[in-house]
Amino acid sequence: MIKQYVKQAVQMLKENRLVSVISIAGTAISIAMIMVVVLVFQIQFANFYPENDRDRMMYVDSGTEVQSSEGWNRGNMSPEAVRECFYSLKQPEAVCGYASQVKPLSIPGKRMYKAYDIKYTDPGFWKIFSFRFVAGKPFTEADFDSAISQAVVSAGIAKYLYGTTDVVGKPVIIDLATYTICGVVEDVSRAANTAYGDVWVPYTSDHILMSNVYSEGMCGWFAVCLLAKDSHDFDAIRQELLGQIARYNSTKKDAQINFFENPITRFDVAIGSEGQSKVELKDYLMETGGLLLFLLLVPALNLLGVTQSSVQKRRSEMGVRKAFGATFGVLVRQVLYENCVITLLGGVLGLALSLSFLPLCKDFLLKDSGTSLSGDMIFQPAVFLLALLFSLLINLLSAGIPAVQVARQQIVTSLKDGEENR
Amino acid sequence: MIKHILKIIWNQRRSNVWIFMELLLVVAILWVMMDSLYVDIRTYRTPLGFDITNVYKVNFGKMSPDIPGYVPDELHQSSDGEDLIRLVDNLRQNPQVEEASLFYAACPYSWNTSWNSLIQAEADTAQKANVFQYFRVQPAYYDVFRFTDQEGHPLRPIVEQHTGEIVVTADMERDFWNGQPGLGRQVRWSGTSTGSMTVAAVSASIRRTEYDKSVPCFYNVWRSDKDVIDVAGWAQAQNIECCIRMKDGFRAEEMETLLQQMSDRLTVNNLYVSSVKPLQEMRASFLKPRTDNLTKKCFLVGFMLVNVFFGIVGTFWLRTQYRRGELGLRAALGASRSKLKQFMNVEGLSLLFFTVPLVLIFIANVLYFDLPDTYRQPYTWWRFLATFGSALLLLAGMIWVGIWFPARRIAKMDPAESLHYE
Repeated sequence: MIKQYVKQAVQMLKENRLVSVISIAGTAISIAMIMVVVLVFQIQFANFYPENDRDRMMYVDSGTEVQSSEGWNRGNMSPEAVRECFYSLKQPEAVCGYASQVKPLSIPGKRMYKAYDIKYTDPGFWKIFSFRFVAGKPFTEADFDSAISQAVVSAGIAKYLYGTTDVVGKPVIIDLATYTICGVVEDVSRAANTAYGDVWVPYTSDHILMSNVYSEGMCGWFAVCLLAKDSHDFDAIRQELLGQIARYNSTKKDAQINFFENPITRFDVAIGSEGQSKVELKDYLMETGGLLLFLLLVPALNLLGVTQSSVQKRRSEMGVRKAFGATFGVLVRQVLYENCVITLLGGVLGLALSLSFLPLCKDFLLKDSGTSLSGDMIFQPAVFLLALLFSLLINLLSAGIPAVQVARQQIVTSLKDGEENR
Repeated sequence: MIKHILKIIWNQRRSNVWIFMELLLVVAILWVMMDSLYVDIRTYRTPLGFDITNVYKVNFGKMSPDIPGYVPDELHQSSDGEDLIRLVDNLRQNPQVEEASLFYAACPYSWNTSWNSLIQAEADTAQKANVFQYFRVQPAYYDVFRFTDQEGHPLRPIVEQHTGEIVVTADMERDFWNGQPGLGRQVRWSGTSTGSMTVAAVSASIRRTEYDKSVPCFYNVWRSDKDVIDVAGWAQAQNIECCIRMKDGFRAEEMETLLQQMSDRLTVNNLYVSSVKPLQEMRASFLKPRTDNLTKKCFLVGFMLVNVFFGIVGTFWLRTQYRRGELGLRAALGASRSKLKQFMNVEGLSLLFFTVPLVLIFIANVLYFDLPDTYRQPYTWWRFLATFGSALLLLAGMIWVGIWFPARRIAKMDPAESLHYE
């Protein structure tokens, strides 16, 4: 039966080429726009190199507040706060504190002035993120504890400095301080915004960063990323953290630290939450849902007019089928199935369009310009499922009403091609 | 003719209702988009008050004792502030550099800002002290960024001719002295502070970025090196900001070579030039979220227009198919082809104009609740005409183009053949 409907639909597509092209193109553009919205969300949310466990990660970035009798300070925390509140947590699998700075990189004998992203971090960082090492290995716990100037660089930076990735053991000068390269990792996309950097070094090696603290030593430059053992542990970790905060605060005279609603999960980040302002799912759905609805509704209204006309044209055919015993349900399904051919064709085309559109327009779609995209960010099963779902939704929206109308018509009216109805 | 067309539209209401609803939705949303684009573009195009082409931000660093080349305190007499002034002199002496200036919390396209209250010193009544953004700058700052007074004369000579440590913007002058000239007047930091300062000049209004409205703000001018040294004392010399303007014709790619050539002059005792970045780059990343937003809006407008085009082509194409008989009859009875086309155009445009009353109700409501941005641009009749008019015109254009396809088909039609369908 379905085969028959498909045959019929294909025949109808051929019969009225212009209208078919318009219907398919209209669906395709709508699906393409919707999928771009979905893909942009997915890049914020999906697991990919080197943030392969985003679904278990929690973040405290720019989400620290220290209140004292002199007022409040908002921003990031000191290394002491990282140690007292987070390193001592029992529940998470791994914890890391990190600070980002922009500094020039040079090699001995050649001072350069272009600044790059330096991530000052700790050994926990390498447990949380699954970096692929091209050469060497991360700096160790011992390097960190004794503040040894070891650096991991990205392959791109290794090539920029020395023209090769075979640079383990060679020096790199960050601003004016000399570090020894201990490892080279594959380049990281800016889309992996927590792991992103050009060079990673132990933060204990930078005295200025370590000592630049205020508000009784609670405020500083550090953010924190946690890796839970399981995504069900999030609440337990937040509970445990509250205890740590209370204990830490009790050691201070006046200042009191808190982390707003942090640590937040990757999902919170993906819907737009930041350290000091958590976005509620409801608000996100209202905004994005509104946009998606609009992107669906406009082409659906378009298609409605077209399906309406083509269905009405076949009233007499429907009348005959009904006279021979086809039920309401059968007729509605027939129209929907036939229309499905158009929307699915449009859907596939739209998905292809969105996939080619995204790399072209990523500079204004994504937060950071120059973000590189990779297959594992984009090709996730959810994308295909959602594309299918949205195509079916368009199908239902654009063919539902005409199908019901035509199926409900009296046999006699239909057979007479609706003349009485005019 | 109009009456006749109204009758036709009414008779076609079944297929017209969808395209009408689409137009209704699109006109309303398009107006919202047009209004916000209007505000953005109008604001963007008003003069900024300064010029950043060929300007570069210079970031300083201070050596820590473990860096090779660190000069211990006992080996040098000068303070960090004095070193900083020498460092900037070195930069300024380069023949490629037009001017260099030090300032604090005054770099365009940066988040580092200062705010303070300022009150009139002459007024003896208790005044409400308002907080304004202010910039601490050397007079050279006005040359680096090419600031002018309200008549367009360069600001620096004016500042240097007059005594006083305060420069106010035209907005501030209006705000403070209600249109009276502010030059030479006395101001104080706050009600409790003693000692007043003199207004040395009035600059043209300045805006923080292309997307912002100008707001009152003022400058505290560093007349002597001592002022710089004082600030370096509490803010740390390496945190003082610096920009250099290069001579016309200098290209950004030459910067790295230039710096490397003069690298021995870029360190004075423990203070050094760390990195240099074109202000254009800072501007691009600072404005990115808002520019992206603008681009996305333009894409949405494009999406709507394409959909309207598809909708019109689809609906009218199918309609010409049904009405071949009618149209043939008209042709046989002497209606010229252009007359037939005109019929369809008027029909399509009438559909658009029927949406106007409903959309006006929508607009009235939106305006009643003051939802459009009336802060950056006042709501005027001109703004209403420009936004609503352009929304309608764009759609009318799309409809006209959409009808062109089916109309061409009519032109090819042979009346005798068409009459077969009657």
